[in-house]
Amino acid sequence: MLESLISVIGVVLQPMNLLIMLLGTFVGIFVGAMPGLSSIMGLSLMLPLTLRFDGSTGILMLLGVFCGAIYGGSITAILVKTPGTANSAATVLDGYPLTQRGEAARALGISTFASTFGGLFSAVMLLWTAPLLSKVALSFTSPEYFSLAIFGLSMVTSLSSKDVTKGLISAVIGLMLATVGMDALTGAKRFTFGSTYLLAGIAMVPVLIGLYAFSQGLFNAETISQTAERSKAKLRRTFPTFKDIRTTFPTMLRSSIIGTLVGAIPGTGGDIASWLAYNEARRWSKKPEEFGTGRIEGVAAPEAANNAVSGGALIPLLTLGIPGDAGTAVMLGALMMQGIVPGPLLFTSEQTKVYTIIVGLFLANLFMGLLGFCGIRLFAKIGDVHNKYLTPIVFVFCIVGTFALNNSVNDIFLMMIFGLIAFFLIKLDFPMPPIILGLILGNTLEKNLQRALLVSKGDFSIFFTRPISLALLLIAFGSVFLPVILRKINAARQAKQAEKNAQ
Amino acid sequence: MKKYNIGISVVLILLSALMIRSSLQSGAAVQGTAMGPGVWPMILSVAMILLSVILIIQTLVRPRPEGEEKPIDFRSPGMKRIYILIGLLALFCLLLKLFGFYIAIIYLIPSVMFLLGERRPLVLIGLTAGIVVFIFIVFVMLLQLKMPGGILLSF
Repeated sequence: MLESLISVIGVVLQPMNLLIMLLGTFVGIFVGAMPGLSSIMGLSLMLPLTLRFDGSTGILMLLGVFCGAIYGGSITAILVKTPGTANSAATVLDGYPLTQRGEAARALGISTFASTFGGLFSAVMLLWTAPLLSKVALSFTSPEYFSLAIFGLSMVTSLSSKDVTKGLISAVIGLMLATVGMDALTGAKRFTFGSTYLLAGIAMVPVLIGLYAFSQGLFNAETISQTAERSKAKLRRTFPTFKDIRTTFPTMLRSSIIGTLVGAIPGTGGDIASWLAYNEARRWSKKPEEFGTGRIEGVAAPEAANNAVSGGALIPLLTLGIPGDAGTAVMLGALMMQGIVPGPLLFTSEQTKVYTIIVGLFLANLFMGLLGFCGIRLFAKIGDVHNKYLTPIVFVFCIVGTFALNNSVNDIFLMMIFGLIAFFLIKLDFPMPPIILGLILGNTLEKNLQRALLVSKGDFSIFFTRPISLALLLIAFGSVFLPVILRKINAARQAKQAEKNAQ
Repeated sequence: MKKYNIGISVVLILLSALMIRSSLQSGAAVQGTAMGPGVWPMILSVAMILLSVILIIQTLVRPRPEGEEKPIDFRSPGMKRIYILIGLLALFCLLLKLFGFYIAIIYLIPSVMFLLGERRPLVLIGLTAGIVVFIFIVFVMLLQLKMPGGILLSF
């Protein structure tokens, strides 16, 4: 392990790789800081670009975008009360009051420090836990892989949607899209309608860009306002004081642990982690009543937690091949396009690639801190860019990014169609992560179902007689009903409370 | 939301029914395998029909939340902008096919900006030129991507 790690460090530290990663982190912070652009959008737009680089360089660039975007969201949350991404919604609560008190630089400084701390902490956790978990997963065969894919899909579906039924419909749409093209086992053509373009199946990148970036461009065009929110805060000192670091250190450590754990559960994400960490910081504080009025721990907690999610979400991705959230789903797609199939075998067959990702994540977080401290004044101005300039740029990047993948004009048309469909589906509360995850996991699911049934001679009990497979299916089944049960418990609790109040 | 949920469920049921018909032609089982190429799409189609029916029942049974806003207001100024945008994008696709990437993009950028409220000619021309130059340097020169040419014009 140590030998692989040292050789990987040598590769990652090559000047070209460092430069590309720095560029990726810069783009990530830019995308994160810009309200109206999401981290997934940044990742999907950069994905085709990264495929043009050799070897691990592209993956390193994506890691930079991934980390930078999570951090970037906090800048506008603190300065103009508009979180760049949902991950930073909790940061607004204490970040903006600090800006109003004239302490914007202090809030941004601690947010940068906490984000870097959380990211580095989770990278270390990933290095420590992933090889251990992959050893357990080595005993997995087709039934377990099938159940694992069902488990990942059900978790993402139940946690990412307001309505479980609509979440499940989205997941099935994704799985249906994955059936287009040639069947992997028999080579039969399915739903190609005589088109050679559809023979290879529906490519992930055009769908991804359509669902996350193009649809967002349409939303920006629909809700455009004539004035952009401008920050008037003056930023002088951006590195936090020793006193602030000392005060927030226990909060940062606790929040990083929360973030890593939440990230490792498929279907969760930075927004859930940051709210949990914020609530815990308030619960542990000696002055909980001051939260919401500009407590520095109220900025450190969500920022450390949402950046710690990045490493946590990579744990199930690298060890089991199950993405922790929509961002890691894009990473999964990127890895597969580079010929790397995440899963337990990756740790034995492609150890170098795994360590490149882990070391890359560590360095991307360092770059994020570096860029954050040095370039905060520049990033603070990003939110000032008006949507009427940003929207055509988004469209152009959607078009060029999609075309760059296969040099196919048909991909551009496909991307636009999916963007338009997504625009209406999002309006009707259908979540997008299950569609993309269904499209990515569709082939894995079908292939392992076919293989398992081949072994069992068509007997479906093979999925219920193997303990790990059964456990995964039971959790998957439970996760679909969990939101319904929680809603019932909440309603009962509220009714009880109302009854008590009436008495 | 009620009529939209029912409408989309009906569309999904119809699409799934078509998928089942097509899956039956693909074959349920192939020699040597327990599962033919038509089985998995058929399982998915049945699941989709069931979920769509559940969504219809849920929508009809669940009381309508108070003060619920229309999810899509087809007559709002924002949606009118979207209709024009769709028209602009359709024309972009046509120009892309006929005259290639550069002509199409030189038309798309200023027209979208104009639609979103920018009226200053210098900004419209300047930003368009800036983006085209950026794409040429980064994608064409550095990443060696050959932009699509058109049927009538190819460069």
